[in-house]
Amino acid sequence: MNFNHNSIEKYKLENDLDVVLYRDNDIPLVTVNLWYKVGSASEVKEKTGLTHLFEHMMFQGSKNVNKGEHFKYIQEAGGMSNASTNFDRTNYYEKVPSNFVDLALWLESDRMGFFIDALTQEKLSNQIDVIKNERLERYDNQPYGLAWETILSNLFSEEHPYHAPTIGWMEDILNYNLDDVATFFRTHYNPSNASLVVAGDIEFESVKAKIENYFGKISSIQMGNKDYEIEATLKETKRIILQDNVQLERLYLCWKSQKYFEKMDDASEFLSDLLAGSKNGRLHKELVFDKQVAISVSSFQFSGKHDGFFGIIVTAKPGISLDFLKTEVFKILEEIFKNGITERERIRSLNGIKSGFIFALQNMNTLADRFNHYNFYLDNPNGFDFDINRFESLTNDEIKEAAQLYLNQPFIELHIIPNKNT
Amino acid sequence: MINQDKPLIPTSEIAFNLPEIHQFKLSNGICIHLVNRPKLPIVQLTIMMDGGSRFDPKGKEGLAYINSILMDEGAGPYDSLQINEEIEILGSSVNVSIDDDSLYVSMLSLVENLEKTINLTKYIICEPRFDQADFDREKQKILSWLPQVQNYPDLVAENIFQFVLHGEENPYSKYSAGYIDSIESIQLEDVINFNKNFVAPDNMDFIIVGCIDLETATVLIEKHFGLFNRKAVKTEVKSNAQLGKKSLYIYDNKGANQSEIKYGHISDKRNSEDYYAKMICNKILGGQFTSRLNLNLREEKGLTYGINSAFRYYKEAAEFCISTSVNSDATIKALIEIENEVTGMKLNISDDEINFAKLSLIREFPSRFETNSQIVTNIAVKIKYDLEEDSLNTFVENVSKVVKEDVIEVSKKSFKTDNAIIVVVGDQKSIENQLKEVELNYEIIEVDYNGKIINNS
Repeated sequence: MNFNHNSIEKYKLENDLDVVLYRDNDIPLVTVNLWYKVGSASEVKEKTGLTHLFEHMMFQGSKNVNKGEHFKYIQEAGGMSNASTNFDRTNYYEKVPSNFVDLALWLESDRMGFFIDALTQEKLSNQIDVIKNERLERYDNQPYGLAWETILSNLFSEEHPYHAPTIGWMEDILNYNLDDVATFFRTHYNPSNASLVVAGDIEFESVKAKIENYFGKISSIQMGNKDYEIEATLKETKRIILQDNVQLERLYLCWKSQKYFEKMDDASEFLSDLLAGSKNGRLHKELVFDKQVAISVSSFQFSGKHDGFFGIIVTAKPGISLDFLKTEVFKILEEIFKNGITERERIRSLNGIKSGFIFALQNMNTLADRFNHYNFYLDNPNGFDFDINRFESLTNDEIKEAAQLYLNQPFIELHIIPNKNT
Repeated sequence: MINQDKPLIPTSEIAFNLPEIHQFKLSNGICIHLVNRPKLPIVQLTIMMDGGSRFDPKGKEGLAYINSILMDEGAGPYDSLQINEEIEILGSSVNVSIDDDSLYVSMLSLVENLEKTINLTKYIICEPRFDQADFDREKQKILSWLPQVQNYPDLVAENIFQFVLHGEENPYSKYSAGYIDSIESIQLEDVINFNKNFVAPDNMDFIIVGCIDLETATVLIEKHFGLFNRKAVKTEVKSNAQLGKKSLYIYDNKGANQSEIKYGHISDKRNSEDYYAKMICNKILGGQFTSRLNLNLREEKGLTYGINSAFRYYKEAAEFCISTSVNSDATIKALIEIENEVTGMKLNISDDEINFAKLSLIREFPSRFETNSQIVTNIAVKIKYDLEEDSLNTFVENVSKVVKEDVIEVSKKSFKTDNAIIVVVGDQKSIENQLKEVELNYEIIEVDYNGKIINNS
């Protein structure tokens, strides 16, 4: 897609806050989407999950916004508001009718500038209880819910920024104190570490004045970039067996791969699609359709700022062993190592990826988040063309090369099997 | 100059023009509903028809679901993998799905590939192959994963709630993917008959939203579906669900560190007059983040990650349902709080709460028309519940019209605490220990993961 120069603009405030504006007056809605360049990668040992705690605490009020009022203001305006956390960043966003753009900017600026003023132990204790329940609901009490934290903590060493799950270890969650929260806020939540996208039914000049008014007065702390120890490869293959409250055995295979926008991270994305992205994906066709030894397969490339990994997941048909399935998966991979992929497979994946880009443009907040995504990883919010082009220019040989490079390495092999003691 | 102390709130409401819905009926009975949105070069087409799980014959639960799975496993000149390959190579998608009432075939395409994608969709609708090998494979897959259902606490709680609430003899009580016994009894012939009965032009609404005008769309649909002639054969399936006797149904999820809770009852159907007042009542009780339930159980007591309530509608029935999961030790405490909040809705509701809910509903209305699929959903709801033609245009007016007296009266009438069906999926031992501390004036009934009563005697 082409975004013409009139509709998008990037600039910086004096305090170093990155600002991206995008105008689309089609529907009277505005999205305010704010990325803080802090994710679970920035956490230290015994304090895992602090970034995610902020995703909760930032809705508990600030100097001029009482507890509970953030959502109240937004709902009364007919808007929505939420946030999410991953390894690299946290995003906070509001979508409101366009006459309420001031409200959204005010709420975001108040918690960026004046969060500490309203921090209390009572709020912290309450949200620790809520997060404890979130962890139970989404991970501990869900079938296969502990798979990812098991894989990550084995795939990445203790010093690696992606070693711990973003929600944090339960023991750490239960032990946060007010000092942890205040220190973490002062270190990471300021204009120089954030990127603000305002998109939708706006006029540039007036919204610029508003942004200056709300955010211009907040001062920044300049902080050095933390150095991370990123091991290049996994030293040896590890096999982990985990019993869980499940009926069906499931196999997870994970390799270290490539970080965002590095050479080959796009090739890995292609690989995951042609292995399991559709009914014609090679793993699906072979294991689910032809041999009927698996119930489902999936595959993905995860790319982050510091590292990436590639995964294959196979749920076994009852009576079929995970070791057998692993052998079958590797037969299919070997075939790709040897002969690569077909031209038709490449075009199929490419067309799917290209359409997906356009379909996703319908939702203003998805679009705003995409601008921030490109701004964060590429230092250019308008990265759509760059992103599509790298997929278009990939050759079959490069995809084959990526398979050989990453999937021929040591890996983490996780078996989730039914509990034996119940 | 802007003040940081308090927010700048606009003094006037924003203007919003609803997209225009165009309609046309083909001679074979197909109804076309179209919204032209030229901004992005994409088109979504959803074909909606009766044929959801409500129509599963007794003992063949899961039939509507298998039909939906099999429709795109080979159609027209293509076998299963080929038809999917043809769709994928265009960068398009075609999905067949069901809910309790309806069968949906949803197609998404770039404008440049629209005719090709419609042609492939035609095969799926008009000429599904239903090969024995595909049927055997898909049936076996369902049989393999069905036992896994018991390990998902939220799904188990939902299935038990539906089963108990609607009653075994009524539609909406059964799990749409079926049960081991019912799936085993389904044969390919059942699927072929089911498909013939429901997939017929006089049972079809084509909802089209995207970069296309009515004339172009009509020519395309006429060209590919105009010769499709078959009459739907539908058996009437009405619900006779009645309000139940207040009881607590427990499924023992041994050792679980959380309890999944459902609380609710049968309610009035979608086209009842107090629909808008009920919507406001529900917003206040559990339909928003700042609802009474969420502020109490999450933001004050920290018992849960979240709790919500909803009036849920089907074509032939409706229900009210509160859902949450709480840590195991707090199960009964949470139940008591839920009960208090529902009762509280009958005792007092303030002007502020009502005005807040009304403003929120009115102002969020434009955001329900942002994406093509949202617009498709809005039109589908209108068709499904036989709502008046201008129901979308009058939404804001209808919400505005609701006054405090309506809300109070409807709240007293619509929350039936004496008939509440309560379901808990959690560690029974822990729950029984908590029950020693409190006195419940209703029965506790043990059920299996499908909702059937376990006879302990």
